[in-house]
Amino acid sequence: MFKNYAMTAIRNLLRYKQYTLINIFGLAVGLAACLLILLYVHFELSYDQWIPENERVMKFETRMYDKGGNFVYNSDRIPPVTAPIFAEQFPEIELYSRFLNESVALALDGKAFEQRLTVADPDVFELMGITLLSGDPATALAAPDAIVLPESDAKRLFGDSPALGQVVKVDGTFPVKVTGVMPDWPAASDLNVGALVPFSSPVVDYQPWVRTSWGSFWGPTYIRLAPGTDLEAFANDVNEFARRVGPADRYQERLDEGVRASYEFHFTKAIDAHLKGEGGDDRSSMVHLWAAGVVAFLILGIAAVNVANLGTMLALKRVREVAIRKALGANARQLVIQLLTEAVALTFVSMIIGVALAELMLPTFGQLMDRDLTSGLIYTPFMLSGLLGGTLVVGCICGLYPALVAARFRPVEYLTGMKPTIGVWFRNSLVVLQFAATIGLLVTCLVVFMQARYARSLDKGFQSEQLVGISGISKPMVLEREKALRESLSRLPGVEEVAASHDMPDENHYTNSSGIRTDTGVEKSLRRVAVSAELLPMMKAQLLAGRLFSVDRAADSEVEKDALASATVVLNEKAVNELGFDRPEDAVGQEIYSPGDVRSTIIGVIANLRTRSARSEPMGTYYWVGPSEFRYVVLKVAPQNMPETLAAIDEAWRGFFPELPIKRQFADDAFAKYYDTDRRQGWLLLFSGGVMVVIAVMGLYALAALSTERRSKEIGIRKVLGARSLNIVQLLLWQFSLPVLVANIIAWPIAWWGLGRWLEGFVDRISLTPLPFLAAGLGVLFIAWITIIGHTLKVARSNPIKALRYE
Amino acid sequence: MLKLHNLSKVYRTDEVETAALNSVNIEIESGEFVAIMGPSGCGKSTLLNIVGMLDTPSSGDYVFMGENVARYSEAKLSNIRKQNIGFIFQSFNLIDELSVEENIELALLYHNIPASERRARVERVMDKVGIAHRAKHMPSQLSGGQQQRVAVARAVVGDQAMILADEPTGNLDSAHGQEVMEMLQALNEEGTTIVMVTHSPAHADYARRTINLFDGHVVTENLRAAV
Ligand SMILES: Nc1ncnc2c1ncn2[C@@H]1O[C@H](COP(=O)(O)OP(=O)(O)O)[C@@H](O)[C@H]1O
Ligand SMILES: [Mg+2]
Repeated sequence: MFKNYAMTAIRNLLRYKQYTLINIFGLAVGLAACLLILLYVHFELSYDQWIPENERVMKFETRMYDKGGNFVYNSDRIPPVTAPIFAEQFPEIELYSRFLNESVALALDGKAFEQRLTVADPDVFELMGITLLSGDPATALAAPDAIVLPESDAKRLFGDSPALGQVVKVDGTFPVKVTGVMPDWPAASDLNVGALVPFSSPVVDYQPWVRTSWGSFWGPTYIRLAPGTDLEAFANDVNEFARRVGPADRYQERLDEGVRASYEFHFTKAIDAHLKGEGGDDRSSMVHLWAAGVVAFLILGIAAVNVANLGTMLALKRVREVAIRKALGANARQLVIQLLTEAVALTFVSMIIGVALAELMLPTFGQLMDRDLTSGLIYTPFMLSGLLGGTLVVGCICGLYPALVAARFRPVEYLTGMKPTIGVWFRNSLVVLQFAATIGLLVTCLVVFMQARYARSLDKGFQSEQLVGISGISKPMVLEREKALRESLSRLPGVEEVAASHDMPDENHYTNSSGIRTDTGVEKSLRRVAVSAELLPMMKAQLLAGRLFSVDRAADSEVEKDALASATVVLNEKAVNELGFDRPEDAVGQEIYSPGDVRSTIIGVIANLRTRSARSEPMGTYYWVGPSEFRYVVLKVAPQNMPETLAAIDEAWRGFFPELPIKRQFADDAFAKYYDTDRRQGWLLLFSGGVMVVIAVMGLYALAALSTERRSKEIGIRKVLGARSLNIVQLLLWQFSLPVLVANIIAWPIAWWGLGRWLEGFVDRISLTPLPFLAAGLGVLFIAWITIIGHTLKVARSNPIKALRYE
Repeated sequence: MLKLHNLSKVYRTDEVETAALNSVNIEIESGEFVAIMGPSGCGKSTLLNIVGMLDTPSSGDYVFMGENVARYSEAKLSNIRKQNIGFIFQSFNLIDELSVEENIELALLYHNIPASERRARVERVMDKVGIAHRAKHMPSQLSGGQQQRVAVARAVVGDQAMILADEPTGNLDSAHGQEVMEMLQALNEEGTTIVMVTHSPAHADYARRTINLFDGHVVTENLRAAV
């Protein structure tokens, strides 16, 4: 019996080859896209899940309060100096490790390699469940000159010879000894970990204050809590303890004045960092993943709609056969089983092709999404059974509707000349929904790309073209010779201007801040940005009042010992507002007091400089001439002979620091990187939108073919009665445009609402206009027309007697 | 009204060539009622389609109202056709999705006639063929005879000078067949030229002249003695 069904099923699928192909291919593409997106979603969800006992592993975080006791922001880290203090005091902290990233150069046999380092604590191995490939975890991070290399770095440096015990020189200054080799850090981790070095390592000397200051933040701190620790109560204990041992200016003095302490520590789950953490260019969010998941199933859904629609049309095509079969005694159940078998067989073939397609596209897709995706997940028993079950379910859904249509249809009606019209309404609604989803997604695509373009073109408050930032200037041995370096660079042909700064567009953000007081008694925490006197004029910062620093006025740049402000400062517009001045002019000439009661005169106010992404609000900032806090040398290069100029810059750097690879990037490139996540989102959308268009259009094509075929008699009659080909083309185009037009009406409001919400996440954003909506709607209509125009013309031109003759 | 001179039609399919009409010479006067008879496959429908300008001859001439239309383009033919010629088919060929009056109106839709006048004309012909009480019905709700009456109404609603009917009674019982024949006769008496293919000698008797076809040739032409 089953064999009979299967044979008939296959015969039928072969008989309507064109439609079978469209069905199989459409469903396969839909499934492949769905699988790829699910692999991506799964990968995002798997972040840090590999950490052992992860329900007890926490990230130590800090809420910051300014001098007025107002909440400023939440930092997802704590001052590194506090970690061992807390760990020693509280038995609840079973294990802890700080993760402080630094980039250095490793020199070996006269060759220099760039190497990412992570300062970590000895507990890191047990805390993160890392088994060393060689070396002893108990002692690997004991000595200050220890380094534990990831496997691939060890290979890069030493090839196949054992790395353990080898000595390499860091930044050309101090040697370290390889004490262990560990597997490469998992890709699915919020932490970006390089080679491990202990907190006692000389690398930390680059920022010595980190060892002592409660005001310095670097990387995150992870801890494992004892089982059963109450998070809130424990956080209270920690804060209570901090009030007692923390520095007076952050705790006791403020408490005495009745102002909140500077810090309030709390915990978040380590596994939540990737999806619930704030900011971070590489992070994702649950909303994003939900959206991706919904899109995945939408794609599968519209592919399934095609199968169901075509199935019904084909069932109607076979109506004569069905009528005769029924007249001969076939019952409804047999028919249903027949059609279901066909649909399941078709879905099964699609599933196999879909999985193959997903495998084929995975590398490209992974690259697009910037993720190391593997297909292993597909072949787990769970997924395989899911796929098989899904095949059955989708197959049944696809087949059920045609089956019911065919089963409900009564042969007498056909034999008395009535044409079944059942399901027309339902079919049309499905087509409308299909196009609504497609249009909605395309609109989203357009708006996301428009916003990304807008964000890139935002007025940054300065001229970013031709600006090159060289980072790594804060390393002590570089900082020492920074002045000489700048002088040497300024003599290179093609280098127009040279300056130094604490802040440049970069993926790594450094934020220093100082509590500032004015004569009027306002107290505010402002961002502190050290610049050389040349920087602001060179960036063409827009002056609102007063003047900029001048190299010729030595008094501008005078800095008292250990002061965090020079004799004169420049404020940005935001800072002027925060300090309570009405107009920029009012601020000029006023004095401000930075920590240690250092007095500085405001000489100028500039428009806010935007060196970060459009998602973050510019901060109230004061600029000072402070060589101790330079992180970048900034160059303005001539647009001509750029490659030669860059090569000369590299050469000059090598002359100064032969064992340090230069790290430089154009400011504009750094800006582009801010929108990587958006770009990724955009690509995902474009990918999904493209797949949807292809599937929907294939469905429309087949539907148009079948339905014009069904209407051929009517078209013949119309032509006999005098309709021209043009009239017929109009008639058919209208028939197929209508669902697309209705789809617009459904898609537009939903997309408008959703995109409005999404745009609210940007401080600077485009306003929604009807343009992308019209573009997507018309685009889809246009594509739909192209798809069916060939068919329509053929039908419109054909001789009507053919259609009437074979009636 | 029309004149066919040495007219031939050859169908070419992949392998076979079928000569459906072979040097046919026929002349039909305005106001005539002509019946075409002959065995199945002898080329009756082909002849009617060419006369009705739904198809073009392979060779020979077709002069319609003084114009040789044999080599006219489809668009031109379509224009002449919709002004002058109405069709009635064996299988009625009504559009299932449209009501009776909409089906009839269809014949005026491509004529640039304002909607109000269209409606008036449709009502007039519906009265004439006695189908007015079924105006809102769908074709599937009508009997064969009623459907064919709708088809007749549709064929004449545009005031066509000539009606071509391909076995109009083929799908009808004798009572309904006779009804349709009487309707055609009445139209002929009002001056409409009628060319009708039929297998029934009784129905052929309504015509003034019978043309017998065999294998694409005109075999005989009988003129019925005036009654
Ligand atoms: N479109 C066509 N293609 C090929 N052969 C055709 C076509 N139309 C008609 N014929 C052939 O031409 C001949 C005449 O057909 P037709 O005019 O329909 O005959 P009748 O109406 O007298 O039964 C037949 O042999 C038929 O098979
Ligand atoms: Mg015939």
